[in-house]
Amino acid sequence: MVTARLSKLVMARLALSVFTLIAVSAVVFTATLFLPGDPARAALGPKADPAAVEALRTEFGLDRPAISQYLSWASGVASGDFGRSIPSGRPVWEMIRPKAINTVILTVSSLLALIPLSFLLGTAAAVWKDRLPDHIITVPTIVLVALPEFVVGTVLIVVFAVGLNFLPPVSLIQGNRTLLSQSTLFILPVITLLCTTLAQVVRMVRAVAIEVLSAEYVYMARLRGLSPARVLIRHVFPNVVTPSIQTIALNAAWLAGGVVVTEAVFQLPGIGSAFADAVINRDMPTVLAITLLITGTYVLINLVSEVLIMLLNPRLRAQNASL
Amino acid sequence: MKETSINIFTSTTMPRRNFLKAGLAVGSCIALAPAIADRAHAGEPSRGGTLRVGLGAAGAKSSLNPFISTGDMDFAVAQSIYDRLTDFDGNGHIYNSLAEDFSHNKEGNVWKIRIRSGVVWHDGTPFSAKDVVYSLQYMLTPENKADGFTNLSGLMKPSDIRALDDSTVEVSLAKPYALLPQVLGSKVMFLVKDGTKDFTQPVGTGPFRFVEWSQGQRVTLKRNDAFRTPGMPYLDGVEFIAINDPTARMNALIADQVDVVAQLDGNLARIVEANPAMALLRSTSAATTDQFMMVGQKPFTDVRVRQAMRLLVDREQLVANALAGYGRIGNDLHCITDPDYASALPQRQHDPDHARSLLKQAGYDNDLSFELYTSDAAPGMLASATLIANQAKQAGVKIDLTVVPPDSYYSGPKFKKTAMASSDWGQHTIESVFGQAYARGAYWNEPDWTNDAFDKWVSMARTTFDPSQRKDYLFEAQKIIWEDGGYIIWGFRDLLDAANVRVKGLSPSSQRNLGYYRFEGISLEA
Repeated sequence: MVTARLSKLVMARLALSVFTLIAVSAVVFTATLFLPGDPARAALGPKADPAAVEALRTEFGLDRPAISQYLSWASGVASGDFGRSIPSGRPVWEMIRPKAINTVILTVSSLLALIPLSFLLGTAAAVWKDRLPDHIITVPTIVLVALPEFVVGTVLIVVFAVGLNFLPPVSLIQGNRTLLSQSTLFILPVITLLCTTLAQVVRMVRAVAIEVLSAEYVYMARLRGLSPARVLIRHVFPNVVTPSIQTIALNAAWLAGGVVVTEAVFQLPGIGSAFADAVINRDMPTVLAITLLITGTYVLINLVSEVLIMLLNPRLRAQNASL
Repeated sequence: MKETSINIFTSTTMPRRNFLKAGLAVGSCIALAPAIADRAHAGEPSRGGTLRVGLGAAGAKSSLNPFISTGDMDFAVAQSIYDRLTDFDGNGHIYNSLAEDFSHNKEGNVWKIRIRSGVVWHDGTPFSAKDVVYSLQYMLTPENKADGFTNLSGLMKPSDIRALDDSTVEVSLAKPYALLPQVLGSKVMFLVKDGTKDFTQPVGTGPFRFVEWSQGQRVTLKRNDAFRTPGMPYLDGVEFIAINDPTARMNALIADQVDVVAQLDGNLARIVEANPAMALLRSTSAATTDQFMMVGQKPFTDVRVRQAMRLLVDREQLVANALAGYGRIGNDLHCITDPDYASALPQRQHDPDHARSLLKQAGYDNDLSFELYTSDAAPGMLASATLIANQAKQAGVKIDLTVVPPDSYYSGPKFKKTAMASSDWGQHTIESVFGQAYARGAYWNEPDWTNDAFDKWVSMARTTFDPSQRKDYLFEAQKIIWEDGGYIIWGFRDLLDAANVRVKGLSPSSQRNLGYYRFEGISLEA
């Protein structure tokens, strides 16, 4: 029953996602039409020969009406072809794939660090609510979330790279080397992203944990003489996880598109820098492909979090079963 | 057919015969490659090592096609892999690179180019006249979108170029022209192997061979063991690493992620000068960040207003602020590094009183106002526009700035439509800038300035084969620009790069950053 209900939900959401992707691509395509300048001129440089610019416009069909450009792009995507990048003429997917991998590593590493750290800090803050450890945890995280990534990143570069000469300031990732051998290049960017996402999750965990800690069953567990650690692990923690998933998912979804600034600070060749580059070059096929990628990730993360919440929440499970 | 020989030859392996001819022909144009002069002081350079170069790249636009120049990285790669027939040294003087000798008929419309013997391509085949013919014809084919098309198409058609034998190319020009060697030395005139259509595995004759490319990120090259100068290059390889942000480039240099970085701005240059582990490479150049006045638009239809504006700008202050002091003041003429630059013309001084009286004569009494279209599209561009507006205000001229984002500046709808706008020009020869920024009807003649007398002097210069006579004609042409032209050339930017002190043999070049991106004379000391 649960699985049937779940698969129905997933199917409905996926259908809705397709609609979302189409709508987003149409909006972004229209928006690019209003950007000043044109891709052919951007590709060939400001002082290019006007005849060469015209030739490139024709080559990429930029002289056709907007609607027919959009439709031919959309039919290409439907058959798995994201088109060719205007300035280079290379397939868009081939160009953005290695960058997408870098971004995925960056965001997944940040999430993998974020989840245990925020649960640890949030629960600790709740246990010592309004006492010194709570302040030590909450105040700095709030300060960090108030600072934009470029400030955090720059401070990290100044301290750890330029000052201590301990970590590389510029993330010069090489496509032909294993990512493991270049893992130090990801450390500072991951810390930067962690700083911007940590506060929200920590506060969420703290709030939920405080509530759970004051619940009757926790009180009962304590009365029965269970050790504080056991109370936390067996009774508090499972009940903190479910409400926090939504917040983590929100941050994960934000990371999918929000790495742009961090990638720029560390010059990390990821999807964010590729996106900025594509916008500057008016490279519509690449802009649209990356938009779809980010939107798709966003939709997917939300879907996964909903499914997880449903699976982890006994009440929702029960409701579904009775339906 | 009487043939006159023009030699513009210089090289370390220069045969004595050619040296004498060159000495007779162009005297002062002999210059040793500065990197070699440096070696004499420093003792024998170390062998080996890979030079890591941090520089800006063009991202998705980046390509290995040398004929379409985009970012600095693509150009630097082409400089290492390919050669030209002629080239310019660090002081802007021309010399023969893969050409050995230029000669022409009496009229100057049929040229014979003899090429250097013993040069081989990276794949081992000998360099021949056929390769030169192919390269020129490639650039002359419009579908190839080569940057060199505009330089060459006015002079010749593809069918006008042919190989007489393995070492001689004959070019029949549409009309007599004295400056063919200069045109062939301009930065886009690379020589590729006969038949090359695909540039993804580039084969050249230059000091380094291609190894690997990852678009817009990294290019790896290794030593060309068969390079024509014995013993060079000293390095085992060069690695070009894209770091687009100047501050990040600087950080990478400090943290030893790279050995040299190209293109710093003035503020970063100060940091380099204060750090004993790094050396600043400062090259004077003819690159400008300038302003231009549309001569067809009010108020600049009146030459007195143009002159007044040129007198209103405080050049010293502009160089000190907009270029952070790393530059030289200009005299409203391009190409200060060209040997034919009109340095004898008086330097225009900051003279608000004279400017006011000129404006009064033109009918403006503290009521001149116009729009200045600008952006931060080149070093110091926005800063200079802001300063000029401020300097003009002190003389009662009101300038309204319209600032747009850099990426759409030159293609924006107001470019060439606004009375005054900002622009920038890289390193050029007088001939190349006259062909673009001063030619009648050319789009990049930004102010749309034309002058019959100017055109007459320029066309006389182009058909004059005596260098000193030509210099006189070009002086007359530049004098007309100085008095009448539409550009305000307030200064020339220095090219700023930095290197770890381990890197030896770098020397300034007015042509472009990092000694024109030629690394055969560079070594890494332990």
